[in-house]
Amino acid sequence: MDSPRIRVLPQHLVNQIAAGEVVENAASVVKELVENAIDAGAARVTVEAERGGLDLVRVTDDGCGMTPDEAILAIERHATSKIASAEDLAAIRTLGFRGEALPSIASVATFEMATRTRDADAGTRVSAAGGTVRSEPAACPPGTSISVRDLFRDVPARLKFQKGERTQSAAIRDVLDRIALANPRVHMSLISNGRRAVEHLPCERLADRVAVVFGREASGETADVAGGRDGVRVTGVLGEPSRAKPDPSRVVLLVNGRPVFDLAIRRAVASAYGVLLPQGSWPVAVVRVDLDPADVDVNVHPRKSEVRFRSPREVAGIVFGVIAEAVASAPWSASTTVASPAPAGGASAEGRMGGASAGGPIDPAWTGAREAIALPWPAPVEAPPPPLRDHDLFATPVASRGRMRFADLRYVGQVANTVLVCEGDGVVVFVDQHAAHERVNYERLWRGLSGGGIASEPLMFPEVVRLPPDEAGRVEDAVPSLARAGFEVEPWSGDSVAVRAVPAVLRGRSAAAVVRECLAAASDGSEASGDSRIRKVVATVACHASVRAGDPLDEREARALLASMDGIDLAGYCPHGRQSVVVHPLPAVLRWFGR
Amino acid sequence: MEFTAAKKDFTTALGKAQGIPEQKNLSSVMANVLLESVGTDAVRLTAQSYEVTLVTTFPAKVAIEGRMALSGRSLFDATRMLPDAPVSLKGLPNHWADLVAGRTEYKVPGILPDNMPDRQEPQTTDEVKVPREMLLEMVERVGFAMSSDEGRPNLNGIFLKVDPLAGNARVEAVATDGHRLARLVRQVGEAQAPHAFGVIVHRKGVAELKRFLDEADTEVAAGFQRNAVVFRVSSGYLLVRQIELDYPDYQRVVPTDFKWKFTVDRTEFARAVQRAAVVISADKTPLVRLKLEGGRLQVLAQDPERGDAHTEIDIQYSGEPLEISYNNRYLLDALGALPGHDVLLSVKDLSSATTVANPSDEGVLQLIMPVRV
Ligand SMILES: Nc1ncnc2c1ncn2[C@@H]1O[C@H](COP(=O)(O)OP(=O)(O)O)[C@@H](O)[C@H]1O
Ligand SMILES: [Mg+2]
Repeated sequence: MDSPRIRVLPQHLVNQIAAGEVVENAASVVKELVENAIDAGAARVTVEAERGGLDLVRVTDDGCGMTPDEAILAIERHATSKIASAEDLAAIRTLGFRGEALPSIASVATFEMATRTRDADAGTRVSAAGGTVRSEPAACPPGTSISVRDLFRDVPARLKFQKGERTQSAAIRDVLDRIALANPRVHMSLISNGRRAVEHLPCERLADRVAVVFGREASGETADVAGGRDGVRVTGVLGEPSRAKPDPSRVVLLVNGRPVFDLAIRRAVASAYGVLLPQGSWPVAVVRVDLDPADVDVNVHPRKSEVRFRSPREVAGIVFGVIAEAVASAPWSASTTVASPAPAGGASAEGRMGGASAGGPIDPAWTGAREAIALPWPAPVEAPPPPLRDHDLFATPVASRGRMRFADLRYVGQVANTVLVCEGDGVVVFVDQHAAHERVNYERLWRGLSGGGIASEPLMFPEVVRLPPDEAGRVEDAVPSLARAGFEVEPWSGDSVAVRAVPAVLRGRSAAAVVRECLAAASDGSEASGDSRIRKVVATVACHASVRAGDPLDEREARALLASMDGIDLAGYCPHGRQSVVVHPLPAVLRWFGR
Repeated sequence: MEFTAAKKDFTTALGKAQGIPEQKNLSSVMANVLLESVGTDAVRLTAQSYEVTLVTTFPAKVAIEGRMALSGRSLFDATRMLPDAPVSLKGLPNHWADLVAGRTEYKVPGILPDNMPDRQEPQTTDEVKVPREMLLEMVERVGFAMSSDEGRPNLNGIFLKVDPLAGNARVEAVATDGHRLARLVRQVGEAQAPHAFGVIVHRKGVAELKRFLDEADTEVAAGFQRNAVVFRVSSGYLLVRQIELDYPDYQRVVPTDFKWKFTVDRTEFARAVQRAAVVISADKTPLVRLKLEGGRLQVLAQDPERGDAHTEIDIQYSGEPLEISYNNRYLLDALGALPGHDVLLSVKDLSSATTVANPSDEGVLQLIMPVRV
């Protein structure tokens, strides 16, 4: 009897296996090919699909094209013109970089490519089927056209799981729309079964592309977003919250031009709309985050649909801050109430009236509201200058306004022992006491850590804390991070640890729960860096050290908390994605009562 | 049932009960207090919660014998506003009652008295006579250090320990939340306790004890039974559920050899700590730093957002310099809970508890843990 041998797989088979990760369906073929076209600098991309792309996907572009040698190389595995070294991998600016799309696609379909560089007299035709590659000179226009036929015909296992034609077509359209949003200047069309299904003409402004992709009906009046700091730039277009629908895919996130999914940022976007957005509903929003490619890892997922930020909290916080600011000055912000969204027509009419650029006389009630909801977050990098309003005699001079300071708010009281209610200049401010305090404590601890260290309080009676068995084994690893955060923990017996000291901020609360959570945070994800571990530990400590929802606060404590929030960046963003501050323009509140 | 009582007797009795009935869930039977005639010249009031039972009898002229269960909240609110006149209370057919004093009348809601839970009767085995003063001292000098953290149930009360000596007894009361500890030790007379024992008195009972001792006899019998502690005076008793858990071995954390010792004027020191601590935001753990050197004690505090404070006191000290930090709340609580003009602070090292004591009354001891910064 032959014993099984280890053997090297034939290249064609390797590619088929890789294809399993990259090529899931026709839409993923479209995605890879269109991304290549964009990377090639195309101004126009045409996608043709037949029978949902299963019979044919053809992507034609007017990009840089390939030389005959390049064309053959392109369908070899890991052949890419986009990166050459590990340094390049750490700072990717193109959509593709893995060099596995074309070989993967060619291994599961009949593949044909015609390509020609701009300055070449003739082009090349390369065809690949069943593992053999052929190339010949051909006459073709500059650019590249790739046809993929009979997808998965030789991979029955895949074919069996393909959804129907409609689903495939919808998915293709979706892919195309997302890429279109990332590249408003590229002319993109989709021809499905010979009929023109999509025609996105080139646009100068993202807002116009948003309007054609989603339709004005779905987005409502849009507001532009621009801002950022610390090397993170946030731009985009926000739709009207009153048009929100329970469909999270309406929030499109583009990171360095790449459409990706990121729950934390998506949540930060929704949080930034605050009370304007009903729970579980999503507005149309396209948010583009551009940052140093070295600060984001795009090589997390074979389909490159997820990214990992070096500092996800900070990025989400910046996104939150910029969008909150944009929301505050959006045309619909002052005219939408929670109780009853203004009817569509009225809302946009009023919104336009409130717009800073409006030339005609401005209703002081509106400008008052608009002005006053200047949020406590740092102003966006390119904050527009305040509108000139010399005809408005009764408005407070702009100079005296500046940013809202929590310490200056009039404290009204505590609701449900959870929410602090304050009145400011033309605004009602709601503060979630736990979320806010958690932010404040996090910043303080973090500052403490980078300064002299975190104050630690030895316990009179060491607390013995039992751990889940899988965690007990990882205690040793976690001890250094815990020690930096002010804990003194040592293994006790089998599945328990003795806690000898805790961070002094914990204010006498039992150590058990916080130690368990911190251990989980500190030993979480073996590849997580020490830095991200300690951040998690600090975040856990901050959470436990903070007043809880349900804790009654007296006025002095409430005021102290509000005052502390002024020193804190991102006061509005809770790492759990919860909102900590909601600002309501007073006119909007009064309008609930028809005043 | 119907009776008339002097306003003072009635309000005193109700005052002792007011913390006990359920206040949040007014539809609970436990939100009511029970009033029962005892013969024709006294009324017994019973208030119960899960942790505490209070029974107190007050003089009254009983016109019609019987019992009533009336809403505690309504009774307390009405009683507070009664004019100065004898109070009469008369049951109505729907279990409500008419509360009348002078020309003021309240109708107080009630329930069928049979629906009240059975009263917990004391069945004490050991008993020790304790001066009322000592129990008040226990509440004030020790009670504040109890933990209210439900995660540490064995610390949610005062540990009361009785050691019989020849003819009398040594009573020790301890409370701790794991960060500070307070201990009171006193000799008392007459113990009928054949052996030493210790119980944890639930914190809810500690709060009630103070009210219970209001206008009470100068001597209180503290009785111990399987699951409860009973404080008995001539007019009634307060029965408090025991926390049936082990109390930590606190003797172990009381340090003995000290490297630093210094005495300071207690009020002056407390004021210095308060002065320093104002710079610390109320939403923070307040830390104060003590610097002991030559003939002065410096008290420092700083808040990166709100500034620094520095204040100092002259003291008689010529030993080693010392720098140590505490949670200022613990420090102030300890200083406030000590008797006497001066305090003696003794420090063994920076990771053991510091003892804070009255140099002339060893019966009261406060321990606080330093903070490492
Ligand atoms: N439409 C195109 N125009 C020009 N070059 C292309 C095009 N598509 C693919 N290429 C070339 O083929 C290479 C391989 O493509 P692909 O397998 O998708 O890998 P990747 O995009 O990750 O580099 C690319 O690096 C690029 O040089
Ligand atoms: Mg590619």
